[in-house]
Amino acid sequence: MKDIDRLFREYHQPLVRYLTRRLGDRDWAEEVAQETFLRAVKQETIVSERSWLFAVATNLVRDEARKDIRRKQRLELLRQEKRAEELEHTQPLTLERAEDAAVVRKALDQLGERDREALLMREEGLDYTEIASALELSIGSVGTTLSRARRRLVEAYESLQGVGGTGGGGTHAAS
Amino acid sequence: MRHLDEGTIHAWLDGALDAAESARVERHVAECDECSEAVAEARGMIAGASRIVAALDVVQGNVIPKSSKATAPGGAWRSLRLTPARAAIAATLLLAVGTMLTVSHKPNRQSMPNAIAGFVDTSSRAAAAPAVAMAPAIASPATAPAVDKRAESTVPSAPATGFGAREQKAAATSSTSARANDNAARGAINRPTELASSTMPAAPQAAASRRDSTRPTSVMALSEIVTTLAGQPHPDSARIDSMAKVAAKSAGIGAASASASVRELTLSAARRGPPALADAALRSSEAPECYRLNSDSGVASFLPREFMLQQTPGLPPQNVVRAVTAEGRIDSAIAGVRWERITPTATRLYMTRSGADLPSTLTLHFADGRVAGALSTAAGPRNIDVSRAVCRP
Repeated sequence: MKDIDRLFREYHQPLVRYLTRRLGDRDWAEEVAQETFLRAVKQETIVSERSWLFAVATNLVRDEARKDIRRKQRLELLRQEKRAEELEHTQPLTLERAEDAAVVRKALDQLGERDREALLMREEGLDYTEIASALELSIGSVGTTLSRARRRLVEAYESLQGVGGTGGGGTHAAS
Repeated sequence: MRHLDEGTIHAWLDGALDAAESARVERHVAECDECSEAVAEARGMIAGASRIVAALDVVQGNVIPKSSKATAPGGAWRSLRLTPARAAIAATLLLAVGTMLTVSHKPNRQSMPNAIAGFVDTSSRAAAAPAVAMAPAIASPATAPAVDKRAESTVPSAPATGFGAREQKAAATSSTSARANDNAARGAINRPTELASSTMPAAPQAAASRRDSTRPTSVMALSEIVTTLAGQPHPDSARIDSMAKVAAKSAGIGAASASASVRELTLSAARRGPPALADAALRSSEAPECYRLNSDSGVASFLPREFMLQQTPGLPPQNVVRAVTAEGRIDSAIAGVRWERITPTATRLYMTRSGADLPSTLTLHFADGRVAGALSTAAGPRNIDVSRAVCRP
């Protein structure tokens, strides 16, 4: 029996952040995280806790994405509309930051699923072994995956800034 | 010496290389301008990507207010696992039942004008009730008006009721909707054929909107709804079957294929009860194949004491190993563990990432209706005591 309190204390925050970045929706992320911890409670043996949690959460997201890809697209549209509405009422500075975040989301969406997941896991401090285990990659290919993900993200972000930038952004990636 | 590839450079900067490899990279970078430049670039990429990703948190934390559960777009959809397409099917199905009831009571109306009218009113109101009961839960902006419209169009056959579809909605109570379910069920058992034909006029619009690539999903979705509506751990299969056939027909799906998936779903529903239907995507294509490790539980550390071999129905199918709880309930798949049949009488379980020096392969041998386990260890194969286990979804 694992100490679920400890598991929760230790991994809830990074897991939710990972999922929020991945899904762009905090509530959804919380739901998936909750389900993940629920499964952890039921699981008798977990060899590597962090990679197990991230793997289960990632699979939950993928399962849902597969099932509801169309629904997600529709939700994303609604979300973007809502976001645009909300942006009209925000301060100039925060508007700029929000726009920046929207560009980042777009850039992130241009990455392959596995690349994106590897990168976001790495950002939560998972080491190469954990990432390999969670994503069922060979450990030797994690470096390649991450380098590709990082390069693509930076390039996508810069090109989006160049094309769709409102003049307020500049080249954030390089600064 | 060969130049360093980008992946190695990133692994080095991330501190993921072992000491020897790390020293080799370091030496090379010191001597090679090209690689030293690549390292500088990689550092920029790592820091840049990190900063870019962090910018995502701004929206959630500061600018966009955290949406509450109630207002989160699609919150209800998610919790109900419904899609607009599924909602449309549910609505069609419910209206089909409603239509059937209205039609079947019409002769009564004509022959018994006043005294019986009250009864007919009630039943036709009740017929509309399931739609009412479901409407707040399932109606999307797109499907809700369609539901209203069709509800109205089925009602004119009983104009003397004095209830428009909307008033019926307002008047419906939970008791009438419960009764409607009873009625619907009775009708479905008694008159599957009539029910099927009576839905056809109401269907084309809905069917057209659903003619997309997700048809097999639709079959499954409607079966789910049918079974959920039946709401019993041991649903009457004949009844569910006929209700699903109706919906399948109205959705333009072949009755045979609908019937097959409904049978399958009904069976699985009978085994596990309605809530587990949400798990349908994880369902095995075969009967549960469960085993128990009788030797020390630590011996095959990558496996729980009890586990099940399962092939997921996705594309490509994956042979996953799912944990089984002490109570015999099937649990989540174990990350990084897969199985394959290596011969007709042997199945191998393995870790997709072989962990250091831990045993990571277990082979199950089948002979004379018995199973024997062989674990690969550093010291060679080791026999372990494995037996079949009973598990229920």
